[in-house]
Amino acid sequence: MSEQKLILVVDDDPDLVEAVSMKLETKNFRVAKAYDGVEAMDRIKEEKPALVILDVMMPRKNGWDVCEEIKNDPNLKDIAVVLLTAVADSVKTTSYTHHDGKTTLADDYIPKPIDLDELMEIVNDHCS
Amino acid sequence: MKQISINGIRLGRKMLQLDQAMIPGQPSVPVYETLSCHRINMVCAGLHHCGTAFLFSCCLEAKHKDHAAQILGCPADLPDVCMVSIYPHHGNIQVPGVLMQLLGRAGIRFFHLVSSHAVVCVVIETKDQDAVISLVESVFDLPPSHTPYCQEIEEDITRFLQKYPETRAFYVEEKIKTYGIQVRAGLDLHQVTCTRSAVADAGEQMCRMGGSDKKFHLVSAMPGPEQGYELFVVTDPGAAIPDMDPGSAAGETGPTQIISDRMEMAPGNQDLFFDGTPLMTVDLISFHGPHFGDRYKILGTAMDCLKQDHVPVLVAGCTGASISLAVPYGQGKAAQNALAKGFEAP
Repeated sequence: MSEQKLILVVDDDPDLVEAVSMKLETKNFRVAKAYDGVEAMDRIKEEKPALVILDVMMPRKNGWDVCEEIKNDPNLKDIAVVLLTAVADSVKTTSYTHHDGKTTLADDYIPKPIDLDELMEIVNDHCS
Repeated sequence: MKQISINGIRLGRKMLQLDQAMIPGQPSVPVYETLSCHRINMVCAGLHHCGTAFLFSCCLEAKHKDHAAQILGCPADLPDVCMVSIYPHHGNIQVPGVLMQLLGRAGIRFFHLVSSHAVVCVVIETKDQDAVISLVESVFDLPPSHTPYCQEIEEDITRFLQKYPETRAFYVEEKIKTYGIQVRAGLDLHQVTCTRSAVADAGEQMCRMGGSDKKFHLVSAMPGPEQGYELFVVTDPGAAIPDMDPGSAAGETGPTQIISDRMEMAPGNQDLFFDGTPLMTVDLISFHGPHFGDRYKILGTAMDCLKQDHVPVLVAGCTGASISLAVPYGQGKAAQNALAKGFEAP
């Protein structure tokens, strides 16, 4: 029986972390959670997950910086990083934006609002 | 007692509080509908349905103060409040229970306490914010690197875009997107009523509810009639689900009437009324969507969908980016189908 892979979900929206975690657990992954960039780096160094699902706009340290730290560290650089890219506006309509994730060091990206099934496909691609 | 571990505290500043009690024979438009028509977002909201009456509470950003006062015809001196949120609660009933004990013992008045999937939020007067943060920090186990985080969304976005220029696109959803609409059937709905002086005792009662590994799925407490608080808690079932026909969980008496009857049973001179037994069995609908926290019309759309399909809502709690709705046992599926008319689920 293959070992359950550990995935770290990082977002400053705790409800989104729960939603993504629940989905991952139903797909038989182990899940760790972090709610900002500093906490994410601590968990990454401690637990060496197979993959990090990483929000971009977060308190204390943003996702771009976390991604850069992971990919520039020889001990961590093999950890796959999937960026969640969005900027929410506190305006009268829902709005979003996404960066061209391919120009970053991330392995993949998914624009917000995320489609959980699409996210699962990306996770499977990087964890198989 | 072992400290309860949480990851963080979040602050929402510069808000104002609105309440509405809708009483039979006094028809009026629900506040959430009026706000929705004027495209005003609610940061958090709660609804307690009791018989034909309901209590409603919500928080808005303070920038809407004059507009809200004008459209709702209320005084311009709406209370300035802030929101303190702690997360994640992992369904541990002791998180809201301890929070209520802290508030009660310190004599801090709150306007609303409500939970989402992961967060418990309490709305308090702005002057009490530092005291509440200190209390939470002293009692809960927080990571050493923790600092209370105050999200100033517009400033964050401006700062972020200066550093990382992005292409921005705006769109309006035809249907409001969600990450899925979940139904949990056969949960226990508990009701506690208490005076302001018994808030700590009510919190202690809540902590005892969690003694048998039961998880909670929704907590909503707000000032009720006669200077007291009305508290609803939805938990895992404590016993086998009663064998009953869907939709007739409350027998011949309607579910909302049961709540109303229970409220009348609580004598006026009793500080705390909770007999330890669940009020009734309910189904809980919960959903979470992108940008729910940043846009208007979510609660109004949900209530409209359910009203059209004649599904009564007993308790609603909205905070962060999620909504939870307790409906009579057996009506969860009907509620899910009704909501699918206004919300897109994968």
